[in-house]
Amino acid sequence: MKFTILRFDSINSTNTEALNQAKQGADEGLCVVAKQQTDGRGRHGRTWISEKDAGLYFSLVLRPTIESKFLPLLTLMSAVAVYDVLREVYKLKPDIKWANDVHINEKKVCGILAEMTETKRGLAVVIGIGINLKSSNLLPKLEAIATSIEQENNQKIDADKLLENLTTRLAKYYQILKNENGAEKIRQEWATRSTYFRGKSVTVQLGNESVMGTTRGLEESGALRVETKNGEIKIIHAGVVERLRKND
Amino acid sequence: MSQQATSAKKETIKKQGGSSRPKGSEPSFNMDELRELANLVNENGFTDFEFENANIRVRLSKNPTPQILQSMPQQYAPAAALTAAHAAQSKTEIIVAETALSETTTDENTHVITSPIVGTFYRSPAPDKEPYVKEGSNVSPDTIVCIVEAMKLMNEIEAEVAGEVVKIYVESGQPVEFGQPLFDIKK
Repeated sequence: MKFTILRFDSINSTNTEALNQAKQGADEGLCVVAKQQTDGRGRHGRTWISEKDAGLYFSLVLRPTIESKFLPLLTLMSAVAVYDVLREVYKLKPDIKWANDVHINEKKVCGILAEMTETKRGLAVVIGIGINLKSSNLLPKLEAIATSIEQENNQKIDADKLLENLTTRLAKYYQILKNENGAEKIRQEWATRSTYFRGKSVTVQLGNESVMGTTRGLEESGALRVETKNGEIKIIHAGVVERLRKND
Repeated sequence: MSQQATSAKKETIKKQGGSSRPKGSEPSFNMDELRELANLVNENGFTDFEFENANIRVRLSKNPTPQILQSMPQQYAPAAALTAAHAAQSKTEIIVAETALSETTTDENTHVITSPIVGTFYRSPAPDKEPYVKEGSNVSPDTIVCIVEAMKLMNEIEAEVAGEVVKIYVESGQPVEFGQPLFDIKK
């Protein structure tokens, strides 16, 4: 995949810009990168705090032609790519929390939000990735739940080097996903990197409903299987999955 | 749809090995054979025709409002509406309402927007934001009407037709199945 990088000092949201670029016909591989987001977005209206130079704020345009039922695997694939960068380049020990949050020592270091839209050139998916580089600007209320690469390995992080390593791995796993049996391979890659894959006690918030159980692997789309106390298997396609703590 | 519409006639027919089988269903009828069956039903004045063997169940019905069921497996092309009435899980079941072989509309003036994926339905971009559309909203084919989320992939759903939103089937934040009706758009 050929990457073209659009850089901004400050932007409302790299995902919004990438979606607009996709609608205007941008090729697959267009990346929008900003030093700061003024309206960084998380899942369904949540805010992704994006202080200047405190994170890598990055969105990639894809035009996938894989079967539609496998499209959600793009977000799992992206988490695998981030995991590998953190482990191989920064020697950290990350974990992937279903579906695609990347944690270190139970604290979030990376969030991924993908958005899909129809364009005149066909379907486009924008993969938005926010990685915390340093914690100096972290709000006090986030200290207990968020961390950064710098905080974890005590090194100053070169954002350009991180970006280069990330795009290389995204291209690698995207190619794997597109190949024969790619969906299965991506699920396997995800499974080896996530403690949430099997045997994890979790709670899942689904709208107004809360489900408690133990994880039992993934469906072919990447949906999480959770076995409840009465032995029923719930298939989780969306919602917030949290590790069940001892005091819960 | 009722549990199962009363079948006026139930006939056993010899299944032929069709060359163009519907995706994901094997063995099955091809579309020519289904049309022949539809004609047979018409000619004989039946309201319903039903065939079932170990692999497949076919029901032809003159019921003019076929409904797509929530449990429709994703790999099946929505070439025919399904009913779960008596569907054994191991069987492929095809319900064809008269000539309607690819309909997702309740009538020709109403377009039903269905969910393309299993996920969570959101009517607005954020909980504190206005819904994309309300009942009575006028839409064009590229108007975004909702988002369906699966595994943090937010899928923008477009109206596909121009018209007026006349019915909203699902509450925001609720899980939806593949093929589940979300909106009626009056063209």
